[in-house]
Amino acid sequence: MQLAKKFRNARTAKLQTVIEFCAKFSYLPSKSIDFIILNTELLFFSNAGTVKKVGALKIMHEKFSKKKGEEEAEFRASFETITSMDPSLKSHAQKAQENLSPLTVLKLLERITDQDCEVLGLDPVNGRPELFIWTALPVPPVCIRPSIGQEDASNEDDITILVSDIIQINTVIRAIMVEGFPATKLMEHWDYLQLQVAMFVTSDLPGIPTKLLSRLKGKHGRFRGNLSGKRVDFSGRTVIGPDPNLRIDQVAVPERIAKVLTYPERVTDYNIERLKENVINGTEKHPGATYITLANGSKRFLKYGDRKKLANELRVGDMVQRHLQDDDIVLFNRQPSLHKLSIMAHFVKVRPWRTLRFNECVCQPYNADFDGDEMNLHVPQTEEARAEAQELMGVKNNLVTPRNGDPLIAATQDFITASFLQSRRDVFYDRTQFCQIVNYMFDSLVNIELPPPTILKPMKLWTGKQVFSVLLKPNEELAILVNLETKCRTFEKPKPFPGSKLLPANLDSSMCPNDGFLIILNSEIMSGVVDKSIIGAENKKSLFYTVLRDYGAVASANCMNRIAKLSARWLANQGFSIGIDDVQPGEILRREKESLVVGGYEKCDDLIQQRKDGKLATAPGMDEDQTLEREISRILSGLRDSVGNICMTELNKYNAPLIMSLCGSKGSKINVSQMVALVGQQIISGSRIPDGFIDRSLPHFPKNSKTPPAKGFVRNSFYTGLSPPEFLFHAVSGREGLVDTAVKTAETGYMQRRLMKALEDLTTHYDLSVRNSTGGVIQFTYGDDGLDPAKIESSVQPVEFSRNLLHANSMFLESNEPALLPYQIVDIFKLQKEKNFVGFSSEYIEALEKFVTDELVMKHVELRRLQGFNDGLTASAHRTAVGAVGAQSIGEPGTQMTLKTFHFAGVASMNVTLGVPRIKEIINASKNINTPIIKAHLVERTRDDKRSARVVQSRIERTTLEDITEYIEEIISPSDCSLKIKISAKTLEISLESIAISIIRNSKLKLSESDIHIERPDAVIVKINSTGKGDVSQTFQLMQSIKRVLPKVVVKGLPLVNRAVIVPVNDQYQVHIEGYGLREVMGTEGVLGLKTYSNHILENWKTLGIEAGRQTIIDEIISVMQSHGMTIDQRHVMLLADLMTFKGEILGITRFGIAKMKDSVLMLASFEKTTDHLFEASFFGKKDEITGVSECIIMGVPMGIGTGLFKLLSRVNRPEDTIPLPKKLLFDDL
Amino acid sequence: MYVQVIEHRNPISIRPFTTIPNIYYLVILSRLHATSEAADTEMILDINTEIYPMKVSDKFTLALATSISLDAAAAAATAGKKESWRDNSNQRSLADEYEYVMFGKVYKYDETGGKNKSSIYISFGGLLLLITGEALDVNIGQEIYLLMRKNT
Repeated sequence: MQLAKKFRNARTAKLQTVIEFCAKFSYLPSKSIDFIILNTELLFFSNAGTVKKVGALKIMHEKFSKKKGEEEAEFRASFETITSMDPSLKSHAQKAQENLSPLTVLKLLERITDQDCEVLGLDPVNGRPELFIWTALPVPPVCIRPSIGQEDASNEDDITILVSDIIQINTVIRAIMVEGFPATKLMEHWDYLQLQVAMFVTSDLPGIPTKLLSRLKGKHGRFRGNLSGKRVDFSGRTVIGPDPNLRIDQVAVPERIAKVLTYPERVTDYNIERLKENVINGTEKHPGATYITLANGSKRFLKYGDRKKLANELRVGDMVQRHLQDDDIVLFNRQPSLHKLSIMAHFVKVRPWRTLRFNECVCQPYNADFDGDEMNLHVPQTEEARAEAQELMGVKNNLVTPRNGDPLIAATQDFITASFLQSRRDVFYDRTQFCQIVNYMFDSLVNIELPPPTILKPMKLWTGKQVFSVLLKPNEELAILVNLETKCRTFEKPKPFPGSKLLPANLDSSMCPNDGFLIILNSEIMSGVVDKSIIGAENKKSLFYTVLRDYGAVASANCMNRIAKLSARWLANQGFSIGIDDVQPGEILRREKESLVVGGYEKCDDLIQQRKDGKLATAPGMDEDQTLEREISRILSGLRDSVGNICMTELNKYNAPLIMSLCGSKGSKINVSQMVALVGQQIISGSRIPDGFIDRSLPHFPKNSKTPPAKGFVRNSFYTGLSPPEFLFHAVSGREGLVDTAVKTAETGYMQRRLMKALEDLTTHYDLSVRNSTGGVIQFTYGDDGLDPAKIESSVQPVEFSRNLLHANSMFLESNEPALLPYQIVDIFKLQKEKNFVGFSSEYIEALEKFVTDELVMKHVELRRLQGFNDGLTASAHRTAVGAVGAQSIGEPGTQMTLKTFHFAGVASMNVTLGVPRIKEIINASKNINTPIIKAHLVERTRDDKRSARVVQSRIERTTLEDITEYIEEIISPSDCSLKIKISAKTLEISLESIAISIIRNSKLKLSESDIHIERPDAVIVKINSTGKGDVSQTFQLMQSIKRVLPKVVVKGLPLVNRAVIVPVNDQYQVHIEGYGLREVMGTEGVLGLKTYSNHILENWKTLGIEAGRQTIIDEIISVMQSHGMTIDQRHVMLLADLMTFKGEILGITRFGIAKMKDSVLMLASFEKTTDHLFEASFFGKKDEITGVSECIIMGVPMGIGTGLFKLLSRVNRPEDTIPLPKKLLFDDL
Repeated sequence: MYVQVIEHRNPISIRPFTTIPNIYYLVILSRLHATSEAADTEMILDINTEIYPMKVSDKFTLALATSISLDAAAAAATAGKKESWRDNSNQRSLADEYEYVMFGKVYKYDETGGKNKSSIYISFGGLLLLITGEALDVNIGQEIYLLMRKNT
């Protein structure tokens, strides 16, 4: 009965269950099994012994090793004839065992009944066990094994050779059987044949290429190389280049590419003239065509023949394969395609020469530069494909990344520099200059309304900031009204002038001395410069993002186009270059730097001296050397920063590197100071340069020297030149960076692949639930609110309230309506809440209500402004492949997390693993993590007092016997031997009794209660009981072994905890624990169990349940990302966490976890362990529904995601009330 | 009245007592700090000193106006209307009486300072003016002319 139960539970592991059960018996009478009748002779009516592998391919059955009897006698008797013929074999005959040759096994397997097959989990029709033994060899068709013909000789494929080998052996065997050669010879060939056939499938021996399996396996195998990734027509690839004159949604395609790539255009009344022209131009002249497919299906090649005639015969309904032309839609892609923005749809602009060109604004999503990068082009071949490409992948529809809604397509590099230079306060233009500049951005296609000059008298002058007003509203029709207030990169709080009485103490931010606060009022820049934070990427407070929110993608794209043209052309006239004088430090700078460096060195020397004298006060949790190292590093990095700051102030305003670092277009403050002042400390794996020679980094320095220059501090600048040791140190640290990037790309690439495979088929359905391809629910509502992460405006709420209020306020400056009274606002809000706020999350409504009460009611706001709030809330993700997007959103930032140095962070001693290693731990659901940390809050009163916190710490931290022991003494007397443990400190809730108990409980010691005696006041005696026999040396050895173990006995604390540290957090003490054992920590007296947090996911799950595990995954991933300054929308992380937990246990995104999440064989085979999955599938006769993404790609059918989700449903012509007949159950007829 | 001058004491006199140390200087632009003779109005103003040099302790007269047209009726008519700019500097205007004239917009109005402590922020194409003192009748977004002449 037990077996029957197990049977029902483990449906897939049927075979295993049966085998486990049967393995208990060597002989089974059939009646002993009460639940089924197994009548298979092999298993139940015959002797069963151990089955052993002999050699590579032979299997031996030791039938009689346990049971001897009649059967054996019979078996032995079968050797009588042969022994009588050859007496020398007689001795061997006794040892003979049954040989399970393929033939024997085949016969055995054939006798398994269909019913038993089912019991074993096999398909009785298509998956009978004997089918797994080949009786015929499938010879693959020649396309699998092509012969490579050279001029004179042809080379056959490995498989062909193997097959011919097998055929040859077969003929030999046949000949032997006919002609009667000795049996040994036959056996030899038989074995060889077996080996060759096995080799045909696979070979575990290295170096042999002929394997059918190896053709399927791996990155270039059939599955990943040919089935999941296919080579396609209508694609092109070449070097890329920049062209700011193109729109951001265009790509310049070289004419010679445009003449190769074609698009089949159907002839209609409207395009027939143009297509006729194309046909006449033929294949060689640009807007031409290559083929005509006539309506009757026949094809005409246009290279030869009378094209004029063909053009004249062109009829509506024909199809013309015409060249790529302007405004065709193509997909543009750069590898590695880490996220969906790596492939976008552009409009074609056919141009001369040989490179693909696009606007630099679009570099960021592709991660492209122009140092020789190449990119790919694909031409969608139907109108439907074009429409989908444009709507879903078009550049303009992908200005923001779905990762967190930040804009990715925005001004870069030169555009930022130019905008910055132009928007500075001291830029004035007269009328001619202003008109010229303003016309840069419109190609003379737009009527421009000149704004009034800023200075009217003594002469008319316009400022550079006014150029941007024209950019946003060139004339009345094209005007958009932008309102924005944000800090620039150089913002600094303005200080009131000395001696002023009336000026307010806190001046408005716009009075910033660096002009670092941008205010745009109805598209006019009031103050501030235009730098990276205004027109750069990854900033939601940027100009383009504001335009995108308020006026849509087209308006935003237009602004970028204008900026691109304006900047490129303006800068071409202005000129912007770097020369030697840009990196020459001035006299003041040189002096200041020198004195800073000398001062820093002195401080370091002082510290080194202190260390020598042993006077250095150690930092908590560190020894003297570590403290010294930390202090020196701190001084030196402070040195670099202060020198950098001097550079910023001392270099002149027209210094090119300075300008670039100020506006954020390229390089940082440090890069400037490295060129001008000093290069700074070189670092390898987070510390100063280590010793490469004995006790020193280089032989140029004295041994054990800890001085800055000896440990890799470079005091020279790139301008002054590095000394040889400095040069080496710099190269060393540079090499580390290169190696690190190389390693990291491989690691993150694999991580992303796994994430993608796990999440690829998740999609939101019409009911807003997220399901996988088999219909399993992962989330009931995507991200709990169904909102699209790409459309979230602020980091907290979907809509940025204060900006919208500002915008609404500014839009109606001249309104003459009376202002609302506070109570009216409240009323309107209530009304709206009841009427329109359907399906909004409660947090959102709460936040909005709070905002309305705090900001609006207090400040008297108009009716219209309030109504403005209801826009933009309809954003929700329907039918999108949220899984794929989520996987990319988590994987793609991983590639940016470079540099090992940032992988640890934390105060003093408690380091936390960060970066890619930590992300890997989380998504792998690793059991052993690098830095398991439990943060324990303490109960009231305890948390305020350090002493009581220490008591709790001691309860948790592991205390071994040696920590509290003064000595352990051997006492040897004639009667007995014992060990006396003298306890030195009896503090920390440890009594002699508790020590005794701990010793007894220690499993290594095997001591019983009677062996331990307590000797008051402060000793414990351990008696050594000799094991009898009175062997003295044995007793002595036992005593020694106990003495060795005793000091390590844990007398207090948790065994899995390494360290516990008291950490003050907001005036309260917490205990942070390094190690495992969340449950034990929570149960410790003095710990507030409700607030205890562990970063170990599995432990949270085991202790607190699956929901806690899920929440830990979310919190941990978000905190890692945050520590690297990256934001990910939490909806992506929630989806990942839900996927990892939806089965009720935590599944890692590894091959084991994914195998548990997915059912599809093809999907699993295309992931990892291709052959294992295929064998398993064939064994159990698995079926694949072809619903997931991988399967559909392999089979070449459209997948049920995105636009493919929609299916046409029709009513089946069947009466409603007929219920299908019940399926016959397996054991019904027994 | 031939001009709409915001200040009732038309025009106000303001005496600059300091121009600001180097950091605030760009080559052709200075931010100056000035106070009225009665010391009840203070201001910070960015000025293009390349075309209109100012020295510390220079005295000047400053006027703020919503229009510089001498025709009051026309000024009132065009005040609310949006019309693109036209160069009519050859016509007679209020500017004739001043040496330095700028055109800009009010972008911030701060009355939190207390009585007689309103602060008006005006931007002339990025050149900022902050006037602190008695409240003036302006709205955010209002177009303002700044007129200056030195008192000799």
